[in-house]
Amino acid sequence: MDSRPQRCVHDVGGLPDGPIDRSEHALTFWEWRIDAMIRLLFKAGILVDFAELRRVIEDLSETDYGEMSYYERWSEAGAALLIEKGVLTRAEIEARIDELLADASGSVSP
Amino acid sequence: MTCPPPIEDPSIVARFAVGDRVRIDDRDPAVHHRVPAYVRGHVGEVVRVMRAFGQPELLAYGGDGEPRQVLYRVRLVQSDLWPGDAKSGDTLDVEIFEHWLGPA
Amino acid sequence: MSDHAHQPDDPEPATRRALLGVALRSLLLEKRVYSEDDERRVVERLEAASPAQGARVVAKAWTDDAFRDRLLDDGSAAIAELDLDAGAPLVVVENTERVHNVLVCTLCSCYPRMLLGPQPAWYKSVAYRSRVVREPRAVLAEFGTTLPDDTTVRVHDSTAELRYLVLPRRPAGTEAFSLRDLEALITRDALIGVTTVPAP
Repeated sequence: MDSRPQRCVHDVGGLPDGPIDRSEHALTFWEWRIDAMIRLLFKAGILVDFAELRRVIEDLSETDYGEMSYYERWSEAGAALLIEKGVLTRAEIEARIDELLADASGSVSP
Repeated sequence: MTCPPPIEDPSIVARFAVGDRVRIDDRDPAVHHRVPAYVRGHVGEVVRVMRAFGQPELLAYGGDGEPRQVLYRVRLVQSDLWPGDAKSGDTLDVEIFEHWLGPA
Repeated sequence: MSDHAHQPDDPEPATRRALLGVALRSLLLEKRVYSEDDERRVVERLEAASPAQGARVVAKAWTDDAFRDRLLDDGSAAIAELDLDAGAPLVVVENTERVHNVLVCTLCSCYPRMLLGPQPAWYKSVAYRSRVVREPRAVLAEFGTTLPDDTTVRVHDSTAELRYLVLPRRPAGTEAFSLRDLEALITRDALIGVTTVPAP
């Protein structure tokens, strides 16, 4: 059986949907940095083609795709590719998030 | 950044020309690709022949994308895509690689 | 963290999901995949891109027929004359009395960023991406754009390697305008094709 459904989560052309929210949002400081991070991964030769990034974004579950912001999808895709290419491990990423959460809640960072 | 640099390769000859009627393949390979579901199986007209680019089906998995495929701008008629919904005369242009096109 | 010196009022990411990007960045900096200087340079380059670049292209095309012809023939080569680079092959589509063009990327969010700056949130939204290919006139109406029935609407779905820019119609009453005055009339949304350029 195909691992991909008939219509993948990103393939939305022609589906019914509601009114368009036209409110403007400037990118946040962190969104610029995540944007830069992906571009720097190309520059470093870790990512080779944008198709790689699209492929891992398209592999997100419908729930994740729907709930995540645009740059959260980019982060998720960046993490998946960095793990796939052996640059980072899932464990060290999770450990770093734990540290950041501990920092944010005012604990002493390890 | 999103595309490989242009490489002029005389061995790549476009199979279709501007004005040709082409049918977009109705298939959904279980890999990353760039052909939206709503255009698959539809017939359109080539309005522009671009250069060849690497195949996203291969580039997405770290491959080199070879053999590169000529990219076409294909014009579809809205009322064919969405019978009943569309205003007659309105059109929709998509970019389709040669390995997704056949004569119509 | 030492980032606060550059930080505007944006809240710090606080959820696991939002912190993923922060974690990746700190690990990549630590492993020297890139440096903070590299990052600053890229952010500055990205932040420098705005609709002003697209407006320059259009004002030039409105006032120079030969340039307009070159632009429609080969967008990338023509904008290189203005020291601009779309980062991907550029196709410019011209609005006329009979034709109105509008851009979308239904599969993701392809967009001429180096000419227009970051995509507006609505351009990336599922609502815009799903609807504009099927009911472009209804979507244009939501943006306040109503076209005569005998105008052909051409939707361009940016599905692969190309980037697009709409060349809007030059409004009446601008014959005496300088390039700078013309540029000031041109909006991002008109270059995406969800609006037109109104007469001054």
